[in-house]
Amino acid sequence: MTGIVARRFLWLVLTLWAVFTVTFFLMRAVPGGPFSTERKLPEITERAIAAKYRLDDPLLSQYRDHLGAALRGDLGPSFSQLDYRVGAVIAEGLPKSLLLGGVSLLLALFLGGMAGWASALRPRSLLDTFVMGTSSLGLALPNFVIASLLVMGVAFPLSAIPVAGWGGARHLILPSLCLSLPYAASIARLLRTGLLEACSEDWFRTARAKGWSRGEALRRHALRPGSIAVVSYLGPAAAGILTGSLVIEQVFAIPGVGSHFVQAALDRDYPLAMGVVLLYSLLVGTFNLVADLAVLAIDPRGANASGGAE
Amino acid sequence: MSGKSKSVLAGTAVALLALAVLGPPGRTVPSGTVVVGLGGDPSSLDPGRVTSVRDGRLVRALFEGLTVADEETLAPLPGCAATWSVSPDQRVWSFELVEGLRWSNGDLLVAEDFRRSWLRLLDPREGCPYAHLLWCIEGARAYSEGRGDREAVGIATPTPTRLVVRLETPLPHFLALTSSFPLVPVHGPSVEASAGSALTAPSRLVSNGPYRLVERSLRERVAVERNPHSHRAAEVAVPRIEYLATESATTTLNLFLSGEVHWATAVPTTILTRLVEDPRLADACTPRPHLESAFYRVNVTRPPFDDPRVRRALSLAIDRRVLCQEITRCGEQPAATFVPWPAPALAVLAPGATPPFPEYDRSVAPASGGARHASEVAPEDWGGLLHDPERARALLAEAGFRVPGRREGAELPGFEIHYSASPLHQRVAEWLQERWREELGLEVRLRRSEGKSAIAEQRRLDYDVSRSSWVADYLDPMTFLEIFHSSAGPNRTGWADAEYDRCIEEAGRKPGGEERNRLLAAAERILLERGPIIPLWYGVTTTFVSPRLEGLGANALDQQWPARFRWTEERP
Repeated sequence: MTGIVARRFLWLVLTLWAVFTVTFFLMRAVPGGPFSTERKLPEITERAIAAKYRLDDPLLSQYRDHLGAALRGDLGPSFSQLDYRVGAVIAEGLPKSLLLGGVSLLLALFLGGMAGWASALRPRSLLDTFVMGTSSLGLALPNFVIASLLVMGVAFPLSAIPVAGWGGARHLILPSLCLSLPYAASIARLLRTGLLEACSEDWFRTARAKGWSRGEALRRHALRPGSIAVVSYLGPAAAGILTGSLVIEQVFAIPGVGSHFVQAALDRDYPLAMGVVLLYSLLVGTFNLVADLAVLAIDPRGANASGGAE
Repeated sequence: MSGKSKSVLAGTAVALLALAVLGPPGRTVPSGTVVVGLGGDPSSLDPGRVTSVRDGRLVRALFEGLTVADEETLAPLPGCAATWSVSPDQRVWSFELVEGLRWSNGDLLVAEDFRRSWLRLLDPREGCPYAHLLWCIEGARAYSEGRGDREAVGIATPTPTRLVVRLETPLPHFLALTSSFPLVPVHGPSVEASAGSALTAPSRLVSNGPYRLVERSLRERVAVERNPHSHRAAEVAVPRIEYLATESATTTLNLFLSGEVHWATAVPTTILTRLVEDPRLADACTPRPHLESAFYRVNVTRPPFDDPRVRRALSLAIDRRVLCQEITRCGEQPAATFVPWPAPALAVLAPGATPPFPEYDRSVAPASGGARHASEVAPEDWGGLLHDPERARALLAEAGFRVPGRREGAELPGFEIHYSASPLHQRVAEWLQERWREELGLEVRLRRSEGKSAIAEQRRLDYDVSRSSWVADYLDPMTFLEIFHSSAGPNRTGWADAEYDRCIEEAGRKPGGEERNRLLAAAERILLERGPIIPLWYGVTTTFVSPRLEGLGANALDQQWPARFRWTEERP
């Protein structure tokens, strides 16, 4: 197990370096600079700004300096939020994204888990058809449609629920519901499929033959192998949900980090774009590792199958 | 379901509930607070570094310059300067500061603060984007370009309350410049201590305006409260203003409809025509003339656009009345000139309002009217002045190209409309594509670029015809006309005209008056007759304002002075 963790950690470091390198050069290859605006600045001012942010250094020298600074934990000043450094931008937004994402993830697990379980309990029943139909709808409907429907159908009629903003628990209700629904739909479908697959195994039929009810047999024997797909899915899903969503943050005015993924690129804010891309990569890598370890804990045969002598 | 499953579910539900309750505590907006939907975060709160209208709204709350602009007429009124005088040759301005001015931390504010702040703006190492506003001062440009000495800049402080400024040449709008946001003073000790990156924390931002910073939360809000040290503290009626950084115009509208925002500075323009029919919004939304000119640039380095007849033909084929009524639909008025809002266009949108450049207005002649002055054109005729498809076809034929109804001439090569990604720009480009096809038989393609890429492509002259707009920096026709001087950075068309350049340069040396206006009007005529632009419309500002919020004023530069805001508890 320790060997797996060490190997994966090494891969994570290499991945982060690759992401850093690709992002660095891709951002600078895109036309338009961070300080180019409709009103062209005088040459002298443009040169002064370029010198101030060291944009006039040779590209490889910039790369070396930025990589060195990033290793020391300093991603530099933001080019769009001129009073902030990238670390401060992320430090302000990330806790809010984590809170909203955490609530949404729990909600998604709760709703998706309930729905998947109910479907697997009575496959091909009316309830199963309803749950699967609803989850298809949840997956198919874009976030902004769900968000708009919730604002119009819930927030405006019920004045206790704010239409947007940040500041209290009630501000979390609509955005977390909206953010969790597509994930809940995926979890429901994965769990149902996993449980039904387990139901077709010989040992499940043996359990039923011993007189256990379907629910009892599912819980005792099928839940563990049937939830492997959900646990694997939760790795990248958790990274996605915790780093926020552009649409949800825009519609509900959530001051998280989600919008920076798009806005930093549009603003050519190279350091901020780099910061959020590295953050996302780090979270994806970490959660994938956690998910894989969880899967190994559920089904230890995987460790041997992947060639681990550990 | 077994008891264990139930307990797992119950545990999850309790955890959810606990998170919701233990989440960030609910916040209430103090009574009397005015909430403004700012449309996004300010890029900075350092007046030397900011450029946008959005940033300017905050700077005007936090800082005060030598003068402040009247919220209706934009005339310079006493700000930090109580009085001022100018020498007979209009080159030396002397400002006497109000006695006993203080910063928000209680420090005394003296004339040297202005001198130091302006020199900081000019400092070549600072790279302040609006440094060129001060290039009119003696020695300022040389210092700003790294060629001159800081001490040679013509700003002096003979006494702690007197600031004397020597200009290179007389500048009619210099006094108005002193109310612009980059020219406010900044607190020297805090700027030096910050090393340029610590103006984020309320405790560190020392300002001299009617308000002081009390809260700044990125992508959430900036809150300001009455500055007790301001010499205007007694005049400030609204104790607290919160500027929400909400980016989405639709979300801001939702907040406005739910009463959580009192002034929405950005509105969803695509649905605006339907919104204004909503009785809840009818009183709140009034399009106001804005000193913005929307136009298309034509790349004159690419044939056939090197022929002015072709450029003019494209312009004459457009019925701008239809464009404004059916496509833009937010109150914009058809443009027959480049400098916006001449009297006839203004009369349609804001009857009785004073044109922004009344003196200039009398001397400018619409392109197709030849000898007529703008003020002599009836409002109902203005929109159609530049629409003459027959003449457009004749011009193309004269240039040797085939037009609908004629067999002679070469086929005009197809070309691209280049525009930056936005629903409005897309609709306008599609509409023009259709007009040019119908009226002139042209094959036009569309090329959409993302914002910064579009600017880079314009600078490289990598386009045929490209969307643009220009907003005034100051209240003078020169702010528009100077951008097409052959040496100007924003020209971006490859166009150079010696006579145009001469008019602009000569006008720049005049202290004002009729001769200067005549020169500028002559330049605009050249621009419209053989220049690289196709004027489209004069811009408007459309915002939603609660009827309970007063004192915003209505002016052509969309500038407000928060010290004048008034909040009425009951709807009038």
